[in-house]
Amino acid sequence: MRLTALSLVMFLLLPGAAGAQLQEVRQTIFGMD
Amino acid sequence: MRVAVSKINGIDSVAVSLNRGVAVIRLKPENRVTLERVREAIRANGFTPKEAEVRARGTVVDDSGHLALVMPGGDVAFRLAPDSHALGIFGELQHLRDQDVTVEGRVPETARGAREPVVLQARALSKSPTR
Repeated sequence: MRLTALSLVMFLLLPGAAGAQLQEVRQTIFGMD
Repeated sequence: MRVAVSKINGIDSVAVSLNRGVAVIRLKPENRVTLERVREAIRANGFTPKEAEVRARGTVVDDSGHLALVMPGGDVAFRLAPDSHALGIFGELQHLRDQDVTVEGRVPETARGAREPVVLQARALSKSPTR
């Protein structure tokens, strides 16, 4: 995936400052296949 | 299924209600878990994951002309689109580009092994607190 140059600089200079994490998932599920 | 999802590194808790047809999964801070990884574990146990409601924290970037929420290292976690009931949120996302935000929204069902980015239909948005 291509990212903007600024974003790449942020990842290189500020590890941990530019991250994404799932925090909560409410996943709908259907029963057995 | 609960045990299988719990074993994924970065999962904090899993509660499954088969009567309501929903699994509520909470994740640890700084985890690297993807929604597709969770859905794979669900499929591996004979269930079919449908749509999901998620809350995710990340950085809004421009990815080839599309807004996206990215993970450390630059992998795109979600492509961002406005929820049909919150179209105004797209303008807010544009203004928050390259900032750390928390996004809530709906992720439709995806085909197994789909290669296109997973779309998060954003419904609510806030700036993340300082880490």
